[in-house]
Amino acid sequence: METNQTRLKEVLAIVNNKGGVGKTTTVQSLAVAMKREHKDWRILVIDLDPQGDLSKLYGWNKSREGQPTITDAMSTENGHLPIYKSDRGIYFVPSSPKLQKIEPKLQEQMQPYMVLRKLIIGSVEDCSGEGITSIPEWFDYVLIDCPPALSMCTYNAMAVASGLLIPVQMEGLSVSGLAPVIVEMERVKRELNPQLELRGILPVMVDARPNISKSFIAYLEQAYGDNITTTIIPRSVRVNEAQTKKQDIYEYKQWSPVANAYESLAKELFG
Amino acid sequence: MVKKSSGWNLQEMQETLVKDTEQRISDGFHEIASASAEPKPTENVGGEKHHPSDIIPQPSAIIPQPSEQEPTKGVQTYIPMSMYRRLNDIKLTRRENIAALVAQAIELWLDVQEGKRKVEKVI
Repeated sequence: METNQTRLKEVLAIVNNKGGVGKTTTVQSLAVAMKREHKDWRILVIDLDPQGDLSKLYGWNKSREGQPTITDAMSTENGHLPIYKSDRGIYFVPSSPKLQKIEPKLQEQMQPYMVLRKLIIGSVEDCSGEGITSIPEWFDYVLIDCPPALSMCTYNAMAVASGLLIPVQMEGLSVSGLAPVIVEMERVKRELNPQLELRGILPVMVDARPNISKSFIAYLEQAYGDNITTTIIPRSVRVNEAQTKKQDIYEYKQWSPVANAYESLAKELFG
Repeated sequence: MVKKSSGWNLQEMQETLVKDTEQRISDGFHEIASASAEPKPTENVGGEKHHPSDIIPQPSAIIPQPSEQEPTKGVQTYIPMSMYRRLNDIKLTRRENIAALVAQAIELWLDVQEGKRKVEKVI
């Protein structure tokens, strides 16, 4: 394999140790927004959350039990990432509830924090029928939906990512929860992955009206400077409505403010 | 506007992975060697410190006794290095504590085999 001629430009981990802040929505919407803007891009999303919400949005359901998931790949030293393709043209690696109990299996491996990196570098299990053999050679971007905890899965994501995107709600607890994530990111950068950098702190579910949202954004800008994305994702009931129908926001309401916001985010991050 | 990404570099990812592998192998063997030479106090689940000489386990009850022909050095491979490396980590999980106890027992057993310690009392 030619190590200096890969297609892969970026591996972006979407991280926050708080649940319900819009990580999964961000991964789902961002992937589609990128694909709409650049039709030739191949985008892979990896569901690292045992709840498997992202996988469900791609149509993964109980009838597919028994088919390989990320849990199978991460459970052994010589696993392969199973890659499927959604009907929206996004490739994905599904999660399963068993991922909740993966930690002992990771601990048994020689490099428990490098398991996902080995899988991304190594050969894959192509379940899309498109002849995918290598992630770095086949894909342009990889997005990783992390679990809502600083667990071993999250560290694995940080150990292979080149960038970190942290969605944050404009609430006191959410904003104060940012610091531990950034501290851990710095530690991973120092000890495991010098390529890792903070790509952005993304204000999500922002209610434009209350002054408190504006205060939090002003505080974030003061504390984290240019790391705050210019794009702000507004709160919208359309997201819930779309996900209830197992659709992305562009299928459901492509002209909605939230759809526009994710398009702006894709341009801001990836051009 | 956030700054542009420096990009994902496969070669660097491979190199740091190889470096980490070598480091772990090196650390693992180094720690086993130094631990055998000079036993240090370790922490148990409750954070209480014990010196290895406080506990003298019966070796045959914990790990199988090798035959006389087998070299005792082979015992080193019984402990996953990833676990051994974290013996002094305060965030030890239950599994790792078990690994730590087994490692400690092996360490003591090796000392007894080499004549560095004597078994005074079997609990």
